[in-house]
Amino acid sequence: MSSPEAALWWARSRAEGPLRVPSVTRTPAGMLRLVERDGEHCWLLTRPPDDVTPAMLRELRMQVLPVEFPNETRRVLAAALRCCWTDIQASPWPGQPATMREVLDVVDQLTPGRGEEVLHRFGMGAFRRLNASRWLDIDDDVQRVCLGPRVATWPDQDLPALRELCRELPPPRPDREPDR
Amino acid sequence: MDTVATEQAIVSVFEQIVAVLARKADAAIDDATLFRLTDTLFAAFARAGEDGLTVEQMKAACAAFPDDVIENRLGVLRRLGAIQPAFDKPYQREHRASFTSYVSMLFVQRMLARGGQSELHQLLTMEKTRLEGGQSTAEEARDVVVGITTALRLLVAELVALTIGGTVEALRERAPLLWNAKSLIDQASAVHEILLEFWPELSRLCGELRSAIAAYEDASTNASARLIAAAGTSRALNLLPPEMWRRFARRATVEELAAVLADQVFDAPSPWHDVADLAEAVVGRPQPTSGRSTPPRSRVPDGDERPPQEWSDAEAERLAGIAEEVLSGEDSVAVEQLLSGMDWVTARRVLADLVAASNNERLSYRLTWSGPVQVRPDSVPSWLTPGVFERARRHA
Amino acid sequence: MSGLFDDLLQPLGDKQRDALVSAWAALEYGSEPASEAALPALRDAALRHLLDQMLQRTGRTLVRAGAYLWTSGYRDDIAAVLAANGWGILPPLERAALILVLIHSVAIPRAEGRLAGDDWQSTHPTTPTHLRKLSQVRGQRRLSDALQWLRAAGLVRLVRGADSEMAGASYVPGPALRRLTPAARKRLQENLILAVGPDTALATAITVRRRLGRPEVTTSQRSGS
Repeated sequence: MSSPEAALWWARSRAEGPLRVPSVTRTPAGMLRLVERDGEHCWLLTRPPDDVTPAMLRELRMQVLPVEFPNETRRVLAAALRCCWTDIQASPWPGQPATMREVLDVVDQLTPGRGEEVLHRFGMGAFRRLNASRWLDIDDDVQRVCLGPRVATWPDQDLPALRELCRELPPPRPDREPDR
Repeated sequence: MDTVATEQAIVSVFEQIVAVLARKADAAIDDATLFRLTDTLFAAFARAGEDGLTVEQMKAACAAFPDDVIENRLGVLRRLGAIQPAFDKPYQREHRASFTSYVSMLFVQRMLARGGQSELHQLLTMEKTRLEGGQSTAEEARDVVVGITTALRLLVAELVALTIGGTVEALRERAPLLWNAKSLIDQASAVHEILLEFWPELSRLCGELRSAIAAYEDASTNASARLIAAAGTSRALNLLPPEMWRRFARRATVEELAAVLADQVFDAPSPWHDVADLAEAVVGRPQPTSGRSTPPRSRVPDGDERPPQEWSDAEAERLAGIAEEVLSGEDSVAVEQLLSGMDWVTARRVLADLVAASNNERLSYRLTWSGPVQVRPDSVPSWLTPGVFERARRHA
Repeated sequence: MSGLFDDLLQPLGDKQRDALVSAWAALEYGSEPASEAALPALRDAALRHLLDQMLQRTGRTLVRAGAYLWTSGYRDDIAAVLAANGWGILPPLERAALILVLIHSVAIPRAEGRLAGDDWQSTHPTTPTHLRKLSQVRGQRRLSDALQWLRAAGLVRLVRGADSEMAGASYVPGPALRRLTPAARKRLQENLILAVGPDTALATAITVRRRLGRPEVTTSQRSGS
């Protein structure tokens, strides 16, 4: 069950975040494999004991490392989930691609009246952070937003609450520039 | 305790330095104050210039020291010629200070800092320059090789004794002897080369110098190894002088700095976004306090895109951290107990943070004051109201 | 279920299993070390041994972070392999900025006798003047990004600085440094001494010991100069 190889994969994933490898790679022990849409690559994620998440630390009254600009970041993540998680009965990952404009439009509806420049500046910062931590997968060149492999680390028991959250969020408004 | 030990160390260097000139064993000063007094006095002479100083003026310049100490010191300095009458006239009231004495004092101060290793270093540089042309006499060359060999042997003996028999603390105090080891060895070897080239008749003495250099290399390495072994996982940092650290921090290139961490593995940031936190960020949308944005601020580094409301999140987090550190597991702590032993600047900052934590409505801490202000002129802070910083129970 | 921990956890009762999993989460996810007082699996020697086994399987190990305090870090052998492959090594500018923080907040206060203890934590801030004026990382375009990464990784912590000269934040070393094992901390100390005082006998002693200690290892680190 345990092997030196698995130890190295786990440690590497801790040091580098979710790992993107060719699909032919054998899944190391205790890791979750998420195959990308094109089928050529997959993501490897560690599966903690009993799928415990950092949410446990709240019960223990311990701190996790703080997220920078937590509210901005989380609004953008929620908006991306709203846009990309189209088949809400399935798992969120991989979902469907959306555009940055669509995601920002949902954020705009959540925080109306902030003006385009502020919306854009905060939004871009949040996209960058979420992309770096692999919660989202962003392609700047084509302004495309996909869900990142980390969304698969939400345990199944959180999915009903996430679905509820998505239902409450407004959809992106078609062909509309963000509120100015 | 510490200051006593430091004073003793300073006095011990004074004694070692004057020992070769002293006539009686108790002739060296036995109190670092006396050294500082002399320093003060010489500075006053320098300010006075060619007019010199009268005895009254000298005493006034040293007014910070006790009278009898000044009296005694002036007596000794006059008798040994460190202070002399300004002109050779009877009833001369003005005095001048000896340049030679002051320069020797500057050297003493340098020796205090590094224990003489850098003086040996400079001596080697000077000898090297002097000998390089081969113009010195065989007699002079012989003196050089004997002098350097003797100095190195004594240095080796001291290091070996401390490494084998001394306490780590005693060895640590002599750490300056280890700072320039490599260049000291290089310099001594260079002098050795020159001596051997121009004065082949000194080959036997040169052989002794060679083995002294090798012995120094071994002894300094062994002493260092013992110090590092005893220093745990980060305390060896104090074995190098602050100025060496500053010079590196200032001059090292990005690559040189980065190389230090080239073999350390750290975790990638892996922020967690809990479902509950997502929901909170979303429903908290029109914040009750201010839903409207503030105008974009000018760019400042690091904190540039931090909106005010999130800044207060981070601020609350920071204050909570400080509050918990201060409480260290207890439910309350007396302000007086907390601030005792802190310097004023730190105390003021801590107080400001506790007040802010107490006023922050997201946090449940309370700072309460009771009783009148006490003024304590000699303490930090110099005023204090009895107060308590505590966890506030949320009303059920 | 193809969990990595099943054979370790299955024999346990619910209570012990929960205790173990909570402690695992506390060690691996917590920003600060976990206290024995709060976690039975850290207090109990047998459970703590199991916990260490769980960590070992994932290339990690228990790291003592003070009296009754524990955290987790990379196993030394695993860290060596990761480093040799360049996995988990920070980019140069991030490393440079972190080293400056360690020098100004830890090394200099220690050399001046203002910082006791034997870890890499400090309350002496590294100011924007230190970083942005008195160093060769000054004017680097990416410096703000590098510092942001270091903050997010818990390697530096923002403190309110008393720097009137320059705009920008002050930093102290972050809690993530407490995850370094004793061997890793010692290596960091030695690498610093080698870089800062290459001509000192201390550097010679370190080089000699390293040469004797592991003669056959040819690490890719630090090209000789």
